[in-house]
Amino acid sequence: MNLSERYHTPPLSAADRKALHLSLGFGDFKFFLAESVDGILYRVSRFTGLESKTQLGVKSWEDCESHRKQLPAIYVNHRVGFPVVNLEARTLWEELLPHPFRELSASVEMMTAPSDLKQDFLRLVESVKRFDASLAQEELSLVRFGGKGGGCPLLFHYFQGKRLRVGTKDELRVLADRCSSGQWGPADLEAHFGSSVAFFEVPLPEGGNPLVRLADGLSEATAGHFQASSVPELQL
Amino acid sequence: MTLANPTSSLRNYDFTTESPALWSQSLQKIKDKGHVGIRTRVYWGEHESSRGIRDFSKSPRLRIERFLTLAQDIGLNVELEVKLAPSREGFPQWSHELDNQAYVHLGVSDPSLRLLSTPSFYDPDLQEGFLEFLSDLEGIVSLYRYPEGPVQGASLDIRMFLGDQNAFASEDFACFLQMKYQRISNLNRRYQTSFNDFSSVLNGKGWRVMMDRRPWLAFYDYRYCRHSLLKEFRDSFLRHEVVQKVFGDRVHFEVSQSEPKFLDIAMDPVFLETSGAQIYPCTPGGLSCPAGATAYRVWNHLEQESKRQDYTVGFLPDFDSVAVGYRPALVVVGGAYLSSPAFRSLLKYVEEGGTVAFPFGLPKYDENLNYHNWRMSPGRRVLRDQHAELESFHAGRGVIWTGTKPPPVDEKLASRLLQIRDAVSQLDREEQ
Repeated sequence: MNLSERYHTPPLSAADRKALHLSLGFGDFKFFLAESVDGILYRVSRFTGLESKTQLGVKSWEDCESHRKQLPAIYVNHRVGFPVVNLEARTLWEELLPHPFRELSASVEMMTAPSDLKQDFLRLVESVKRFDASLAQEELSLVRFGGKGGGCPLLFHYFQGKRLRVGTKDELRVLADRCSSGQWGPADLEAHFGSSVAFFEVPLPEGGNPLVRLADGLSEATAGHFQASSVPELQL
Repeated sequence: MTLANPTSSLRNYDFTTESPALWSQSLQKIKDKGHVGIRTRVYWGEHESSRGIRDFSKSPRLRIERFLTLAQDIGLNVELEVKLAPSREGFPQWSHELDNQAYVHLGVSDPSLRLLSTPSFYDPDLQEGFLEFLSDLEGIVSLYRYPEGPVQGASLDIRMFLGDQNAFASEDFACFLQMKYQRISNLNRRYQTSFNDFSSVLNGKGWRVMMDRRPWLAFYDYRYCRHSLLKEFRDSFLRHEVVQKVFGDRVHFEVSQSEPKFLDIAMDPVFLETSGAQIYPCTPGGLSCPAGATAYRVWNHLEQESKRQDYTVGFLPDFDSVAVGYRPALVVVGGAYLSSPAFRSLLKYVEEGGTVAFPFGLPKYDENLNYHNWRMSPGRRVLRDQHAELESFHAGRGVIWTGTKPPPVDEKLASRLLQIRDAVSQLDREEQ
């Protein structure tokens, strides 16, 4: 069997994606989001985890300030019409992070209340970049995010530093469990996939701001992963 | 309750997403459940890694012949669906660099306001490459057609282009605008503009000017031209011999017509787009528009509140316009314009005895700026509270309530529209 076929995974389904977002810690994050295009307000939502409720009475960012009460708020403005993204150019994290975080970047016009929320987000952007760079050094990486039940383990496939695909399937959960518990080491993973595989476990303690938690977890995972063919012992 | 007969149904099964080792087992399970066949998708992008290099047999996952043989051995019919979809699998990588790009909304996996740039069906290079792919596919599928093989039929789904926000990418777009208006002076008169010719409408900021002058009409014209353009391309595509061989005339580009349904609140859909179950703002050329933003926000609010307050909301003219027996009033959310089909549905409904309330005022003009004739006579009743005011008119056997003071657009809009519906329904019952 062709090697690339052995680790082919279907793209994330809506249910997989939800499980992933919950495991990333976004299931209990409450915040306000105002989105505008050319300064015209298209959507104001109050998020409770992954669920949002539209706020029709909020007509401006200033209104948002008064409606948000103690909740963090994010205002995003797309300056020149609706943003157009290229399928090929979409980054890894655009596919993985929940709305609205997947489309935010350092270049998007953004205001937050409190203002240090923006700093948290920019820190996450940097952690993501570093983690993405780590994944790009491997051909194949098995990643498991912390949280209850280990969320949704993902298999990343890169070729010459370029991401080909990311997906999941049931058997990955078993493999990730074995790696986490120390039952399996690099050689076992290599034997299973027929190729060197890096295993990343992203620790995500519960509570607090998920942007900070994820940034910390990714930094820790970037530093502490094992690579199937080069690291002799599992260090988790 | 009626249960679907499983023996007459097709089961969706995408063989490329499952390990080939499991195909036989999965197909047998489907057969054991009583299904007579499967519907499976074929994605161009999966089979064509580089331009002209197509894989139907090298990668085990893409071995369509093996899959069809297995289906035949197990005794399942196969319907092939070739789908152009805005995903990595939908188009080969080379096509992402073509000049003409469509802009589509990202669909259920991404509720953001961003648009995704994908290859355009109107690009001659794309069509040429796609025809070559179909030719290869036909070479295989022809060996497995019924009765020698399990393939009962194949269809092509190009519905993603119905939501294209960049139909301007086709030079032919201007032709359809010209077909509608005949002369540029007619368009200028309608939009109060001063374009020199039809192509200049699509240059730079032309459409922006039209959207600023007459937003509803600009959105309507965009959708009309886009639909006509896709139909024209579909028809010319169908004339290719290989397309006929593979699909016959089964090239889908119309959204399936939903059954007419009872609605409590109906919205004018011209500023909105449907992509799967998700509703997005219509944004010709990616341009923003205050009227479009308001429509989008109001729809989101009404749709979310419908789950909480248990009412049905949908779009005109897709509502059940047969007014038989008692029904509460239909509340219509829209502005001064309405498309001719929506106008006809509402008129039929009212003439048969239905009640319609327009809290934001009576629609007066259609897409050709013809004045609507609602055939109304004064009704002399007024509904008034601190937030809104409506007055009644008789029309046919029904009643029209039109707002003279619209309700505020805020968090309580859905509740207020339902209050209006209940109040006018009650008044009509009392009068009867």
